[in-house]
Order: sequence, then C-alpha cells, then structure tokens
Amino acid sequence: MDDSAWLLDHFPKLVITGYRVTSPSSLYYNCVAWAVHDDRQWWQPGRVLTNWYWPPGIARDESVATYVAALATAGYTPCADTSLVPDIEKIAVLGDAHGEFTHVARQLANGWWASKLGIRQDIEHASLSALEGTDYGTVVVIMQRPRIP
Amino acid sequence: MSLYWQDWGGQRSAFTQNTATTAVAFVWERDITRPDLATGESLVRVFQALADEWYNATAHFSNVQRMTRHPAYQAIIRLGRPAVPGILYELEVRPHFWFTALEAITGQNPVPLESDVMEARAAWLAWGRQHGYLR
Repeated sequence: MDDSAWLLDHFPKLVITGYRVTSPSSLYYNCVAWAVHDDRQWWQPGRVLTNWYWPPGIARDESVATYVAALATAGYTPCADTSLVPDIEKIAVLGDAHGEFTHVARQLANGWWASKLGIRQDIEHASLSALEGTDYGTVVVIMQRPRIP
Repeated sequence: MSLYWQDWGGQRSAFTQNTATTAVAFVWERDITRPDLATGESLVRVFQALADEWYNATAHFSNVQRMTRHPAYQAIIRLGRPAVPGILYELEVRPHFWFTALEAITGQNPVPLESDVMEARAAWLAWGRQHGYLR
C-alpha cells in the first residue's frame, strides 16, 4: 500500500475536505516538534537518541495533560476554540478515550492545518476533524500563542 | 538465487541470495515451522504479516512507546532470534523504530551514546553485517 492509499485508509475524510502532502517521511521529528516549527527533533519523553527532545521538568507520561505542559514550554496557552484569529497561532491537541495523547496539529494563517503524521509525511489539511476517529481520537485541548512572522 | 542454511540458536533457517534486492544481501525465505505457530505458516510469512500490520498501524503515531507496545510488535519480539534478519531487512528498506525489538531479542545494543535515529539505524545494520545476518 503506498502512502497516499494508507492515508485515505486511515483518514478517509481528508479526501473530501482536502489535503496535500508537504514533506517526505522522516524519523527525525514528530507532530509535537512540527507544531512548534521544529523539524530536527522528535519530542518524546526520555532521551534515548540525540534527536529526541523533551522539555526539562515536564513529566514523562503519555497523558494529554503532560503534552499540554510540554507545549506550554513553547509559549502556547489553552484557549477556547479553533477560530482563525489574525496574528494568533493555534494548535489542537488530540487524545484517545483513555486520556492519552495521540496527535497535535498546527493552524496555518490561511485556516488550514499542518500535521506531521508520526514517521510519515507532513500534510496540510483543510479540516481538523478529518483527523478525528479511531486512530487519533478527538480534539481535547486548543492552545494558542502569538504567530511568529 | 542460491539457497543456503544457517543455524541460529539451534533453529535452522533457509535463506536465498536475492540478487534483485541490493539493500540486503539475503532474504529470509522460509523457516522450519515453529511448534508455537498454530497456523503452520512459515515464520517468514508470519513475520512479514506482523511487520506489515505494525507498520501500517503505528507509522502515524507520535510516541515510540505507543508504537512498541502494539500487539504485532510484541508478537515479533516473541518470535525471538529467527526474526532478527527480517527486522534488519525492514530497518534497511522501510525504517521504523525497530531498536527496542532488536535489543529485546538479542540482548545487545550496538548504538553508541549520542547517536541520532539514523546513526542508531546504521549501528544496527553494521551489527547485522558483523554477525552474519546481513552481507
């Protein structure tokens, strides 16, 4: 199965709402890194490899709350909704039914979203809800910070 | 293709030289049926099915612990040392976080301190060549 087939198999709503692939696959960085514009580190509790990063002082579990705390170190604070606001950059944190972090997507200035899909590619997608489902669960926290020009 | 046998830990495995795939010198073609495989399928087929299942189920995950606790990954670890050439082949042609399984099965970790993910991959592939799993 090629990557596009895989993508549509796991996230079929993407084909309806619109998406485009914007990078090759990479084991160097994940969605958490990509949320903070970092394509050189894999944000992951522990530091088994030198390209793994986890903010100092943050717990090392997989809960949504812990990942929210990690993202707060990059200047994000919780906010109410995903409405597009000029000069504000928002991220959406997704989690499963057990409260475990699964994914984070970053809102682009045009209202689309940027996501790094694990070790697979980065995509830009029109709909945030297109990623919700069995694999990533649901959006549970929205955060924001001033958009960096 | 030339067939040859190799003995790992008392289990004979058959390999064929694969001239079509240059990334890895040999491909694990078939194996004696292990008594714990209820399906009776060759270990190679069992491994490849598990590897495909794991890759497709977890390559979009962002947390390595979440990836490696997947049942297919744990099943591959339970296959033991005969799975090592298959894992190294996967690591070569379709990189993913195989390091935990390799360390769990072999009890070794050839990755130098201060290695990034691709350096870790290179260290395991070099280990595979050194120990006769890859050429």
